[in-house]
Amino acid sequence: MEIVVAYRRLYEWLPSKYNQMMRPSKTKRIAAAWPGQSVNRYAVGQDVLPFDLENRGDFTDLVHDIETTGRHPTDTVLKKYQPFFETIHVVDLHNLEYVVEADHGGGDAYLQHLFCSVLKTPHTCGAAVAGEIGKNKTNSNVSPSLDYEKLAVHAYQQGLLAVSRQLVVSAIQRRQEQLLSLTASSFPQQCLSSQILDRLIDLSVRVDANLFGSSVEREAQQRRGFVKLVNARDKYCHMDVAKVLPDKGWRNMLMSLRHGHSSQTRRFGSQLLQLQLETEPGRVLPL
Amino acid sequence: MVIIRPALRISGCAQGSSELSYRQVAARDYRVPEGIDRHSVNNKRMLFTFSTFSNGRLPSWSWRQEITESLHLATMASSRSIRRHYYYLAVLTGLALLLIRKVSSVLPHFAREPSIAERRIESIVQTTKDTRPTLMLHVGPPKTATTILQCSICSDGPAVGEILAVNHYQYLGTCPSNCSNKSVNKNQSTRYIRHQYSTFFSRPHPEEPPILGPDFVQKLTTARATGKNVLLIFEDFHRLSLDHLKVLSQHLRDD
Repeated sequence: MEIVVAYRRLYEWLPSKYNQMMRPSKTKRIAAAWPGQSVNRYAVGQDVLPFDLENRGDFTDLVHDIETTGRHPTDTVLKKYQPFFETIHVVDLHNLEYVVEADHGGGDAYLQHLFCSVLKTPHTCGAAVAGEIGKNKTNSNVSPSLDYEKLAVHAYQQGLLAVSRQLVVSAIQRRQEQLLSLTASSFPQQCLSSQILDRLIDLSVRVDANLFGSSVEREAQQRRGFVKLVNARDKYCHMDVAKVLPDKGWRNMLMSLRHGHSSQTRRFGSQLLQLQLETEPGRVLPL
Repeated sequence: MVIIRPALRISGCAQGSSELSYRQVAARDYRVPEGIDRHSVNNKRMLFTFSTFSNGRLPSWSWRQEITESLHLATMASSRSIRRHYYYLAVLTGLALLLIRKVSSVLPHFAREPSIAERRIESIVQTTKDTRPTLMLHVGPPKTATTILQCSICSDGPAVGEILAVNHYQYLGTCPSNCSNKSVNKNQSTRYIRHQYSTFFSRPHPEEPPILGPDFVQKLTTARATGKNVLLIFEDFHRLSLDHLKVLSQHLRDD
């Protein structure tokens, strides 16, 4: 029996993990109600905060744990499995062995690596190289942006809204993506401070060295990758609500969702959203 | 590892079996010439397939061996008419082989060089003996593209499973229900192990060590009884306690 453990650099893994922990789901219903309102007997609605290393509850505990042990989560899994299994492959997602690059018509690099180098299955490897495996895949586990939640909660806290939180978030998302043809990252952004960024990359380099051994080349590669991500202003930035909310279009749209109750809320909100979509842009609804 | 396949093969699959999938798998290793790839005989279908050896060249073949194989198929045939057709095919095989042998020297199509990708695949998967593990277990951790990997394998329908089967692997699962916009259909969800902890382990009494789930053990045993190596991807395994790992490793050692 052999074990495969995947490795993703910590500076990428942490924001992804944070979004997963924060994203609303059927079991984690923190976004099913406005902050302070009870969802059910066990859950209360919460604010959705952007990615940071401190003051983020369980996530901050996880960060502190990694800082204390100096171990990447992959390393932790590896150490746990090692006493029981002889062969463990650590697949570094940043250094995959592929046959044909995706840019040159090759299939997914991870699939190529798994079937060609780890499993050594020639036919399946060929299919992965040709892109025949995974062609129907959708990245269903990607966490949605928390920015829509953030805008909705901020508007609610300013007293602009009285309808359900999910309706508002969905309306915000539809306006941004369908009406304006933009994405969550198109909002004015506010980014993490350089101190936090330095802490993140230093920790990432440290845990990487603990797992793979210290290497100047690996560190340089890692720092280059990090700079790229920082410059992309995506993972380490979030919506600047203070700039978005005063925008006339957004304010009108949110005001239009001000009224509505219980079972009528969804239909009411949908109708208003439809109206909003039809009358945009420029129409200012009365407050 | 040099993949030895016959130069010309006549393969039959009963009508009603997954002919399309069969052809997809066959086409990966064999060139299937247009027009003569399929021959319908009563309710049986025959597949003429030409191999491209791993070096991309048409090798010198033993036509006697090929014809012997066709004759063997004929003896195995259940009905008289099918048997007669296999004899015809054996003769056809011999004639076709002779013809191809003559023309292959002048047709560059048959003597093509392997592509760079084919050479690389060959060098990567090259092993002196089959060292593949009985069970290959991918344990995540989360947020390392595990879901994409699972969905790539399990939402593409039976094709991936059949390609893996050619390499003596069976993908047991798991298959998350949210793999694509359309949820995974019922056939696929029963084909794979369910995406939940209770499929793999249960703990009858809180004080006692956990035991392996019967469905998991049964699927594993069946796969191994049929000589299949098993691929299993389940990121929740990263959370297993030492107790669980002990039980799992013990079972696999004993099995």
